[in-house]
Amino acid sequence: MEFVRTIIATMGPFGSIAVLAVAVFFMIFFGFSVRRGVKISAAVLAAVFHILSIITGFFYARNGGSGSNLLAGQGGIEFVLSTMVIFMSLNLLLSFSMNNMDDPAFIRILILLVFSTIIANVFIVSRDFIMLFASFTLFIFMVFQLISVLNLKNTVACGKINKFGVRLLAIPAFLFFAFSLIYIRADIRNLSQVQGQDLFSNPFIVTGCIIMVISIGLYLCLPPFQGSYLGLIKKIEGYSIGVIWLLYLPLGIAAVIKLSPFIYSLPAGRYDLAGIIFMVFALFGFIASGAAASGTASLRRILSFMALFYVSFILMNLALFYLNIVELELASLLNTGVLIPFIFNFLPWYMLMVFLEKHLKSDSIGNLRGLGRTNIWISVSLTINLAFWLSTAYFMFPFYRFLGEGNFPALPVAGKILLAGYFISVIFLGINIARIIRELFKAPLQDLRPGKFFIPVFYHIYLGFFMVVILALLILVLIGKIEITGSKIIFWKMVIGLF
Amino acid sequence: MIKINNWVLFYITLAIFLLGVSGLFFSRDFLSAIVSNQLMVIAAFINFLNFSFINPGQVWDRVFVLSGFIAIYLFAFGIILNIYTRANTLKPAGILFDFRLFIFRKSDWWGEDRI
Repeated sequence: MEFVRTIIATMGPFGSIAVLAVAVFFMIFFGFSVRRGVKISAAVLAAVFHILSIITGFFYARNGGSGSNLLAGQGGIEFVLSTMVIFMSLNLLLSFSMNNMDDPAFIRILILLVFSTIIANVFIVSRDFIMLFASFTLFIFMVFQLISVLNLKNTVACGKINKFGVRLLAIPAFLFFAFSLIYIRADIRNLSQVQGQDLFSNPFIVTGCIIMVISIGLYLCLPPFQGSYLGLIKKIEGYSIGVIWLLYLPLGIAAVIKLSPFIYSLPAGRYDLAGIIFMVFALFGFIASGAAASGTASLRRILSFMALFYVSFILMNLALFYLNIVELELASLLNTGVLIPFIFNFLPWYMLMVFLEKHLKSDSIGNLRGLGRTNIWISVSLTINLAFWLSTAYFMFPFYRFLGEGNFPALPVAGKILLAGYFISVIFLGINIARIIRELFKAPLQDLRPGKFFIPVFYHIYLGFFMVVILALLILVLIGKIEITGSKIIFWKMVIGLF
Repeated sequence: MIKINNWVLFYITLAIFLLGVSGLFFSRDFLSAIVSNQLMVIAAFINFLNFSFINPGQVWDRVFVLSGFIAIYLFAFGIILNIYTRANTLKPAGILFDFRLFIFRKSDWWGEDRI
């Protein structure tokens, strides 16, 4: 045990990355095998190493402390982000194993997936700008590779994938230019050197920060750049959508958290203007995605618009900060909170959506029809999950800053407009949730009576697991065993300092 | 201290960068979009060279440029290879898609083929 502790301490923040790299190393030897037994072994091996990497990260965070140097570092927030990414990758591995096992390139797809998780973790622990930029660009490349490999036989999606790829190529180009402007202060080469510096009176660095914000907005498909993302989601295979929802978008949110020393540092004299600009885009993102989801009958597109809805919280947090309604610490914490719906809301829905599309050959919301009457456990799990959608939207908005005695009149006009717009978008969210629940509890069609069509036990267990976790979280919050104060999460007696 | 020729060079790189950005918004075919991206990368590269004269004796900027170039060009190569292996051509007529970054059209706004 002491030996293991020594190795974990020696590997430092790269411990979980090294564990995943071992999995890739073993899988490479079987990359061209088409035998089913070998494929299953490779998937099991990858899953085991995913779990081991989470354990390694946990042991390092608990015993190794927040070790860091100028190249990389792992504090509380890096541990949380890294664990989330590895967990999402594990679920994607499960989805690919269930839906894509017959593909002759299955093991190579797994290698791509694990490698992209490695690159994502390298980005999360990076502090140096070289490592940050290179890992971010390589991750975007890996996402493009994964999507194109998973849709090799899908000729309909070809154009959309290529268009999305060309759009993705612009992101590192923008970032490269932003870093070239920041280079005017050549003594600033990593993130730990940025804090506490009076950098942002320099017009080059301010311009670099603005271009960085634009590149992150482009990455996250925030309006008005959502067209190619929506077009891609419409055409690609169902199981490959998980790469976008569960890897690509969450890492974008992680990028906002990593680059917050730049993103949250425009000159104080421009705060109002920046706040209003972000407010306009945030409101547009909220209201447009909610309204568009209400107007479509495709479950796939409803979920893709909901992903845009939650990603728009990033813009909202920027608006709240620049309107002086929240401090940097709370804005950073709220950004971290945006990842929660991607784990607890999107994961179960993505798995169910892929199964229904595969068996019913359509992506209509009508696929859910009658599930509430034929599968009671599934309907209860889904209903609780949908209630969690509403509660996450509630907890991710600092209502106490807006409402309460004396707060509302003291707000700037932009803050009041933001509050009003947010209420409208939550109404749209409620409408979409109501539509889904109504569809669940409609009378099933003749073909879908019990016995004719059933959902396998696995999905009962999977959806039930998330339902139990959601209920446990809610109960723990209510009895005070989970507390979020400032930049710390207190879970039972364990304190995780995030920032 | 920034000399006047550093400023002139910066304005030139800014013009090249904006040319690349406008190319992304207005160029329809795939090769024009790739060239627009490369213009932005080249503008950044010239910036690094420009500012390296202000801060001489640095190796870090060269390492950054080298690793950045490798990453970006690897990505661009991956996209080109993907298009070529599927369409068997890189000629604009053979790849009949609109590659503009942002199209002000209802169908593109909502990700539909036609509205």
